[in-house]
Amino acid sequence: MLSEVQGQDEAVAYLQQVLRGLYTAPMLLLGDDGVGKRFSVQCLARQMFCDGLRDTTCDCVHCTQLKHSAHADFVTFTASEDKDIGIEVARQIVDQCRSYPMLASKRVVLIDGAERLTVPAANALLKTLEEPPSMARFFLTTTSLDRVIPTIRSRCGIVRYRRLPEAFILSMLQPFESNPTKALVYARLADGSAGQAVRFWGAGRLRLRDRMYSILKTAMTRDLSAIFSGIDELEKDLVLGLRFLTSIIHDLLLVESSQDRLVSLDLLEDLLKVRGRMKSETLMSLWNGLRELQSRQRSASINLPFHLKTLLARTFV
Amino acid sequence: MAEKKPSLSPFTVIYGGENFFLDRDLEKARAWPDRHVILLDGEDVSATEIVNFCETRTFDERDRIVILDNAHKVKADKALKQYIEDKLATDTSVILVAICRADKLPDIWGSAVKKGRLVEHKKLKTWENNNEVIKWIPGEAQRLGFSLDKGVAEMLYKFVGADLHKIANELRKLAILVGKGGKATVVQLKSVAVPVMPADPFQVVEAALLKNEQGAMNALSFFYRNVGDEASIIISTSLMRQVEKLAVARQLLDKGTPEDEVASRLEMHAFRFRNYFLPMVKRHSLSAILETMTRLCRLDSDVKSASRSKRTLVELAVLSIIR
Repeated sequence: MLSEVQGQDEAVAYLQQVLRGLYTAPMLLLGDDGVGKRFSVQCLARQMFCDGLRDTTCDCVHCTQLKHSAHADFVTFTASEDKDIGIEVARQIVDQCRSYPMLASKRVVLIDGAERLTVPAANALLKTLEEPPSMARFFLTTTSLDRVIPTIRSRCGIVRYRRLPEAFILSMLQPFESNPTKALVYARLADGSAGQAVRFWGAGRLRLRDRMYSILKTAMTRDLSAIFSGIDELEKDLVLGLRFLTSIIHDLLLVESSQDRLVSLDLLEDLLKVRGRMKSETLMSLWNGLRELQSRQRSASINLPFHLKTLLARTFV
Repeated sequence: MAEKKPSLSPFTVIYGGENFFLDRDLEKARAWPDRHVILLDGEDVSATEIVNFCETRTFDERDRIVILDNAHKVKADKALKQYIEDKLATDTSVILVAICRADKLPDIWGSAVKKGRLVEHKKLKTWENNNEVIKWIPGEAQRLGFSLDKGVAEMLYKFVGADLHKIANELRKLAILVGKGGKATVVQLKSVAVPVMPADPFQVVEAALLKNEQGAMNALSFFYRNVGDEASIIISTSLMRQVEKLAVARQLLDKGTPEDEVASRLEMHAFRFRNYFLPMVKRHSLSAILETMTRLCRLDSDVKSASRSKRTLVELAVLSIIR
């Protein structure tokens, strides 16, 4: 049920309007990964389909099937890691909407990753999104509004999802992580995304953060060979590693003034030592370089390892 | 080329890195007289399907030859292993010709060789003191029915490089020009063959890092002519890779590290390092290399996004390294 969605009051209020039938236009849910976009559509579908108790304990056919992601009228289309949503999938979506729902009164269609729709796929969907069939409700999710094709954007109502409060993410992590400091580090590394916090914890991503920290320390020794091979070893983890490195620089900038705002609280003592050996100007130039690198990386598929190597070499050597 | 057991056998395995010879053998096998020929591609068929093709009888009861191109891409399964194991070395009603376009023979085909023939086509060497391609050219001309005057083979190699397909094409043209039993001269070669400069991104990078402006711009021009617009990304990637090594080498040398150790840190042969890489390193200071790296970062972003002429951007980057 929509009441299960936490920390997203504004978005929930919009979805309530959909539930009441006030909005029939497709909804484009905008927000970072792991802030509850998919979950809230699932909750909305439960509330829409449920013919039982209409609460979290309900075990009617609809609620049970939705819990197991097996409801015939809740259709999800997701872009896989290496493949965008192409024209074949778009045609499937259009076909799905031509038929009547099988069990419920409406069909909920979730297109997860609207920014990954190819241009032909997006064009194929335009007509359907412009005038959605009365028995279908469309929800699209995206992490970046700019990357969604304008014609799709203009046909959707935009629902914004906020970053989740730290306390909420911590409460989600507590059942898994017994060490409160580590739980807080994971929560802060996830930067307002509960899904990411859990994923980071599951994959033990603190190890990656530690690797990035050791690369930074290597860079301080000015040994190009060691810096370059450290970066080469990261391979696919480099994109996330870059984010962690930025958070470490953020910590180094703050470690002497406001320790309560640090992300890597578990490294406090070491951060203080490293901070003592680095000038503020060096840190600021590194911080700016990393921010620029992240924005360049978002706009084109640049040779990220080479860019990072250059940045570290330029800063330290 | 090493051939074993020339008699008819149920398996013929042909492998190596010289595609020209592999293609020629494939064509020979396709033209096998009085046999039903089936051509398969290892990329598209499974091992079980291959066995099915080998075990199905033809309608007209003719013997069969199954040619499997790209055999190195087939994932061996139980059925194929069993088929090879059970096949009698004397049973040649079905001949399986496996063409592996790889330098190493996969195990499954290694076991087939025990009951059949192995033909190896290693890539011809193009060393300065042993150029097998130049040695091969007169033989190929002989096969086409004519001979070559002194210096023609060398010139042909200079014109088209080590690609045997291209060489064979030019020789076919020459054969028409000089006729059967004739002798092709350098002048005749010049009238049929157009010099295609073999351009490699490495040549551009090497010339740029050696600060050889004319060489770099020529190689760049040839490379663009051969490859087209894709050259921008290829060259910028090659430049980045090489400049990165240059930076490491320069720093290590500045610290007084022995040359052999620098070569091993760069995973480079000491001979190659001393003769080819070191002269480049000596022409650049560390600060200049770091500046070049910054410029290459900008180039990398631009060639992957900018609408401005990417070729101009690459040319500017190469020139800035030289100057």
